[in-house]
Parts: sequence; structure tokens; C-alpha cells
Amino acid sequence: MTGSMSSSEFGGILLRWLSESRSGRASALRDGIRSQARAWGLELKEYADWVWMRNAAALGFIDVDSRADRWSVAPPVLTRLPHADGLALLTGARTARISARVEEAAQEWMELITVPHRPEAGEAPLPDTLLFQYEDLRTLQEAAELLGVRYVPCAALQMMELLPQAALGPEAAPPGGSTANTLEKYDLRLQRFVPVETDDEDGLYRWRGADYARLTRVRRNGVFHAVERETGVYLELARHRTGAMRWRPESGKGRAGVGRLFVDRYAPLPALHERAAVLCSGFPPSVGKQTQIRAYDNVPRALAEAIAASLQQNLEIMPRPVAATGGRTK
Amino acid sequence: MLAEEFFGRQHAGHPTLFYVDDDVEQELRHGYGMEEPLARCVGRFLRLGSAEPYSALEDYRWRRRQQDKDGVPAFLPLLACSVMAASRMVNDRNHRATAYHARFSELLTGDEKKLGSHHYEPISRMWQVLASWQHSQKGARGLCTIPAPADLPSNRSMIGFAQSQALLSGADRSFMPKFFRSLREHGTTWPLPGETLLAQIEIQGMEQHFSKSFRSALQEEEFRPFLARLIGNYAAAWDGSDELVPTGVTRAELLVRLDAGRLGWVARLRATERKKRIELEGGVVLEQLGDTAYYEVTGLPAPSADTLTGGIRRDGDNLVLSRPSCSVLVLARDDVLGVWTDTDGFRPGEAHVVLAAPTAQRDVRRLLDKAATTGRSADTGKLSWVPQGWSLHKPVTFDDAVTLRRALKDVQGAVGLLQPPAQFKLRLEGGLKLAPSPHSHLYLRGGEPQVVLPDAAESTSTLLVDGKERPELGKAIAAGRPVPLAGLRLEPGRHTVSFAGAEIRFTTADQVVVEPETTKVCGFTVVDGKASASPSLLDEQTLPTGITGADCTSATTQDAAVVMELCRRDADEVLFAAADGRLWTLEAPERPDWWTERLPDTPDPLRFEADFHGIGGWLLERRSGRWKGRPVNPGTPKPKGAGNPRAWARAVLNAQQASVEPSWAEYVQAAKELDR
Repeated sequence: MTGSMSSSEFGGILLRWLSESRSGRASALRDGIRSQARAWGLELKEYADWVWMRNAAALGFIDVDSRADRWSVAPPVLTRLPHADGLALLTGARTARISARVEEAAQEWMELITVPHRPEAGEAPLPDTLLFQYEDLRTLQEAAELLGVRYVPCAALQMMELLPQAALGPEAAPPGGSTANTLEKYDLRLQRFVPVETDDEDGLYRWRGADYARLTRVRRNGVFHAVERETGVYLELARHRTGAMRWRPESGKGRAGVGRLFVDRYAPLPALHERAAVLCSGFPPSVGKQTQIRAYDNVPRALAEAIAASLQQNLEIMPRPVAATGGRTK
Repeated sequence: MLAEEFFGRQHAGHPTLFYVDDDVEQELRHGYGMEEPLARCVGRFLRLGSAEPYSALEDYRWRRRQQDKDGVPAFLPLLACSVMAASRMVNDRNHRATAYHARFSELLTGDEKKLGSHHYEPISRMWQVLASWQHSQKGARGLCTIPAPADLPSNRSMIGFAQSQALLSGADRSFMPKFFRSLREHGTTWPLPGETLLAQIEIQGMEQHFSKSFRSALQEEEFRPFLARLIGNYAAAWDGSDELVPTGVTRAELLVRLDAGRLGWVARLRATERKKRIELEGGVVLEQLGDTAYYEVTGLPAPSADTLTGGIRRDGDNLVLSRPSCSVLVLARDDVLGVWTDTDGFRPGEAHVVLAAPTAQRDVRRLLDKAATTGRSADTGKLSWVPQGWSLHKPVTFDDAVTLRRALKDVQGAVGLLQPPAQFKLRLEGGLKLAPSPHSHLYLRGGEPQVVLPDAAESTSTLLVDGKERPELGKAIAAGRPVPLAGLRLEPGRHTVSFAGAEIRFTTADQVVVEPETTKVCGFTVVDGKASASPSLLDEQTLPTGITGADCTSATTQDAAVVMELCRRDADEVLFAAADGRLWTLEAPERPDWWTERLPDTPDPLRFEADFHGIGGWLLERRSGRWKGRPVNPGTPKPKGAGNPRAWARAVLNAQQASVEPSWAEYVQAAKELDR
């Protein structure tokens, strides 16, 4: 009904709200997203509020601890995109003060590229992606100081070193008690959890705990282990030697080391893996409608391999789209 | 006392009637050991002769509200008197049956002329405040039976509230289960709509079992619809036992929940004190879920066509768990549990799952056809959790609250009871609030709240924002939706919204005034060079090395062996002369593929990246015949070691003007020596 407002404002206002508020309850954040969507006449799909939260976390705007029902805004950061020919990403908190500084800098000395998010139907728009086109690494560090934000040389590549290995967590109690009737098992063929009566086979399970919080557990050799849902799915894929990840180098001459990482939609990346992949371009993954795939742009092969290895995946390397000529730059 | 008696938590989920007549008043007084009659007591606080005789009572209410924002509005004694006056309309013969104000005045002042109809407006407002409060409690303090202003006949727009509460006496209500049971014994589908129930009372000649006020209301065209709704609500909330509403015991509501691909039960107990575990007769056990008002239920057969239509009641020590029989099940998202649970009425704008027994399917279809925005056609996919024979619609949403209400009124049967909660006063909803106080009306500019208009809404009233009518809001107002202010692009500052004589103020700002302290920071902890699998709250120990957002600098050591330099794409030639005598020509790669899609309007990059892994030297660029150089960990040149020393020397000498730095001079010197 308020057609005069562009969707890029929607994400910007939400980010301003989070930045000014600093931290809060994750449920209040989702209420805010839905309430704002109603006000703007946007029809959201079910879980669009969760998707927004997840994407905003991957982009480095916020951090979310769903179990504690908390979020906090991330520090403002200027960081280089890998192999992007002089593009750096401005992410994290965007308070009124920071936005004013950025705006001023863009008028005076900063080559700022503002790219509005293009949401899929039913998705809540994310904040604009702000890219800074720099000419020299040394100016990048100075720019961060002038803007009053933290300088992180290259978040994507730095996170690559820190990625946690998918592994069974500590031993945990098996399902039982009054909530045993909420038991579900991950069905690899259907690619989702389905209700089951018993837990007598190894696999990935979930159920409701005594406080009705959802518990995800892996059963291995009859013993249950705590695990994050995303990691649990990858452990299950590894157990059945099923691949969910592919990487395709770019077609351009001299760009063979960088490409697109494709991840099956039913096997979303764990939070830090997702963030490392997203911070390669500053854009959330594009989602193919029919293909059920998330595609991350500008991912160096080394990072794609590190992500795959840490999740016990064999990275499938796809052929370059066009027969490429030329080799590496040196 | 009145609050506990009439709006206590024992009424959770059941219709409540604030019925007070002389007998009830006396009984309560004796029960609580009070001497002075209620009316005399209230009368002492009146400012007779002034234009606002109830102002002392209103002031008292405001003072109480400061202390307890959630409590029952503190003017129940006055409202109780207004109901007593209504109950006397049929029960005494001193006045004409229709003379309300004379009775009210006499009750409070002893003189039938001191308080007239022109004084009554504050009391009708108090009724609406009470109704609004009760709705805001979402059923925890009983389901509201006070009519919406729009439902009152015009000649009773003020006294109708009090009259509505005097329709069913205590004796009427205790007779109700007997009447309901007699109907159910005939195997009728249940619950029946109120109008059918009233017709049955008349057909069976059961009027004599009811009070005078009930009988006269039954005859009155204006009150009959209200009576029908009231009795229909009681029928829908009746759990099949001898009591309409269990008294003196705590009641736990038994709700249906949809989660993990199954229907199950969950109990909700809205008492203030909750035990962890409660045992009921028949081996039914309730176990509290965390510290919520919800309990896991074991020992009951799962929800099915039989158990849903049958109604359930299990007694325990001072507690009953009960659920009326139902033929339509409406599930909505429960914020506490994060799953679908059943709800008393449709909530416009929200998604619902609607399940209907065969007896109710026609009504449900008719309602959805008329009013639903989505979910009109039944889901025919055979889902295992749908009760046998029941139909499923999902997700059902209603964007237009006005159409929904109208359609619900037209539909017969139990479906008609699913009215969304009535709105009694102008209020703000949603919006992006800024610190410091969550109660203050300070919002972020662009995140202005929505305005909920009272249902009373005479069509002549207009909504004014800062004194001006805003035509762009017309559509939302016409649809009875909360009216969004976020699209109006209001300037930061104070704003006023007014409608039908009521007014609300709020403030907007671009940023917080006082920066909140960052108390709880979430992020990834890093131990032994590896991050945790998911973010958590960081404490003083983990924060300094943790990862927050894109900031992971404290967790990593920069790899000094890799150096990235940007080279100009418009250079005629780019060379790298390594300290060890190797020489490379750097070719510009093509522009990154993903720019085409993600950055369509961005011109091609002016530079390209070159990475240098563990190698030092000088980077040389030639443009328009001029060379420029930059050192990359240059070290000391030892060109004889490797590569093609002659080519290296030629290149360095060609570019000897590239820099004036001493390091470059060393390179040039080394090249000269080679060239000799």
C-alpha cells in the first residue's frame, strides 16, 4: 500500500534500528521484521523473518544466539573482498552517526557503490550492500580510520583459517520423558525430518527437550551426541557419502582461481561457513527457484575447498563455463 | 475482591460475566466480612454537583495504574453498581422498566435525580477500558462478554454495557449445563450456535427455568442477538461437566498443538503459582515445559476425530484440565512454544491452519469463500496427522477484518464463534521502538507504529495524523486493518493521532538519545585457532578473541607471506622484477563474472589484483611511456641467482626513472652491473 517506499529502505531501517538498539531478544527482532513488513504492505513467506535474521548474520551485520534468544549488532567493519579488483565491503553496525559519516565520505572522497538487495518473492529485503572501490591497500586502512570503523584485511580469507570441523559433539541423553512423542529422524532421501516412533537406528534425530526447545542429536553406534542442526546434516551426508557442494571457476581469463560455490538448499552451511562464503562478495547467496541450490559468488577455490573439507564433503569441481584461455597472472 | 471474583485466573479461557445484583452483592459482602454496602461505599467518592462526579474515582484508577500496569482497572466497584442498577430494571416495580439512570442515581446517592444520563459518559468509557484490558490479557482473565460499541443498539449506546452483564443471573448459568446436556443427549452436533440454542429454549418451553432478566431479554429484539452470542459462547466453552465454569479450582486449558508432523496436546495453566508436575485422575500427568505456562500432557489419547468432538475433562487436586468439544479447530503460531496451537478466534493478518469436522465443513467453506485472502481451497494432500474425515485449510489468512467480521456474523454454527478480539480503544501496535524504555512511545523514524482503531468506528469519524487527514491510509481503514504510519514519511519529532475523540501521542527520532550499554554480545568463541560451531553469548574471557560479525582480527594472525597489490588496468605494461632475478609480465585478468549480475551499473574495474606469495621485488607500471614503480618486500637484489638475468637487467634499466627510493637505486645498480 505504501508503494512510494522502496524495499531498500526497509532493510536499511531495520539495520538502523538494530544498530541503535545494540542488542536484544531474537524473538523481538523477528517481531520487528514482521511488524515492519505489515506496515510496508509486504507479504512475507512463513519463516521469512528467520531467513532475514540468518542472512543478516551471514553478512556480518549481527550475531545471533538462537538458543539464548539473543542478538547483538556487530562492530562496523571495512574489509577487502578477495580477488575483487579493489572492492571492500562496509558491514556491521550502521547507526545514524556511521551512516552520516559514510554519506559525507561518499560525497567528498570515497568511491561508494550502493547495491540494493533484490529479495525473492515473500522475502524481507536486506540492507543495501555498501562497497568501497579503493585504489591502494594503504588507503583502505586510512579510510577505515576516517570512517571510524574497524579495518579487517580480508574477513573471508581470515575466517577460512578458523572454520570449525564438523564433528560429533559431547555425548548427550537419548530421547525420552514426556516429550518423546516429538521425535523425528532426518530422512536423507526426502531431505527433511520425518516423525518416527523409535530411535533404534543410527542417524540424525531431533525432538523437544523438557523446556520444549528443539534438540538435535546424532546417534552413532547407539550413543547420542549433541550437534548443531546444520553440522548434523553434513555428518549424515558424510556417513552416506552424499555430496551437496560444487564449485565452478569463473570463465574469464585470469579468473580461474575464483568461482561460484553451489550448496544444496537442504544442507545449509553452518553459521561461520556461511559467513565466510557470503563475505567473499558481500551478497547473500542467490537461490535458484527450481534448482534448489544456493550460489555464493566470488569464492576462491581455496576457501571452497576449506569449507568442503571442514564439513567432510568432497568438493566437486565443475568445468569452466567457456573454454578459457590464458593462465595465472604470474 | 471484585477483581478476584469476576476476573480471576480461574476464569481463564471461559466467558466471564460481571453479574452483580442485590443478592450477589450481599453474598459477597458477607463472604468477605464487610459491613458497608457497596453502593454506599462508592457513593462517598462521588463529587455530586460537579460536572464530573466520577473524577475522584478516575484519579484513583490512574494512580493504581502507575503501580500496576497489568492489573484490573481499579473502577470495578462503580461498574458493579452500574450492573446492579441494570439488574433492578426488571426486578423492582418502583420505576418504569426502562428507567435506568433514575435507578442508578438512587442506588448511589439515594436520590433518583442527582445523577443523570448526561453524567454517564465516563462510565461507558470505563466499560470499554475494562473490555480492552480483558482482551489484552488474551483470555487469561476470562473471555470478554462486554459488547463492542458497534453491537449496541443506538438508544443504549451508553447503558448497554452494564445491561449486557445483567442478562444471565447466577441461577441461569448454573442451569445451563443441564440444558446443554439435554440437547447433547439427542446426539446433536456440538457446539450449537447461540440462536439455535435460544430457539431450543423456546421450543422446549424452558423459559421458566431462567431468570426474569433473561426472559425479557429473550423477547427484546435488541438484546436477543447479544444473548444468543453469550449463550453460544458458553456452549462452546462447556467441557461437558455439571459446572459451566468450575469454581474454586484452578483450570488448565487443554490445547491442541501441531508440531513435528503430529497433533498432540499441550496444557496451559495461567495460575500465578505453578507446580513442575501435576497428576490428575486416570493417570494423566502434566509436566511443566521450562518456566512457561505450558505443560506437556501424558496419559491422554492423542487428538483425533473422536477425542476432539467428545470434549475432555480430568479432575485433580484443586485443578481441572478441560477442553470443550469442538467441530472446528483453528491453529495459529504460538510465540512461546514456536509451534501451532489452537486459538479462540481468527487473528486478521496472521496465518492459520483450519481443521473442520464433517458437520462444520460447509460453514467453514462458506466463511473462507467470503472472507479469506488465502487458504480457500481445502488441502487434499493426505497428511497423516489430519483427523479422520476432517478437512484441512492452510495457510488461511484474512487481510480484511471488516469482511471477516461480517462473514462470521452470517455464518451459522460453531465457526461463527471465531470472532477476532474486539477493539475498544485507539491504540498503537508494532513499530520499531528505541531504547531507553520499552514502554515509552519513542520509535525510529521509518519504523512508526500501526494504529488500531476501535470497532466503534462510526463511519463519520476520520483518522487525523498531526491534525491532518491522510487519504493514503483510507484503504487500511476501510479494511479494518491496523493502519500503518510508516509510509507517511513523518518528520522526526512529536506526533499525534486522533480518532473519534480519542488521541494518542508518540515521538520519532533518527537515533537513540542515550546510547544503550552493550551488555550482551553474541559471537563465535575461538579456542586453539578454531571457532565454535555456532554463536553464543560472549563473556569477558571469550569476547577479546571472539568473532563478531566480520571482525575476526583478534582471532587470526595476518599472513605476512602473502602480499596483494593493485595494478592499473590502463597501464601499457606491468612487470614484476623479483629480487632473485626473475621477471614476470602481469596480464590484467578479465573483469569478475559476478559483477555483471550483482553490479550491473558499475563500470569495469580500473585495477586488478596481483598476489605475491613469499616473493619480493619491484612492481613496475608503464603508462604513456613513463614508468612508475612500487616496492613489494624488495630486499636486496641478487639477480644472478635465477631466471634470465639479461632480460631482468634490461627491464630494470628501461624503468630506471620509476622511483627515487634507495631500494630502487640498488636494483638499478644491480642491473647496471649485470649489463656490463
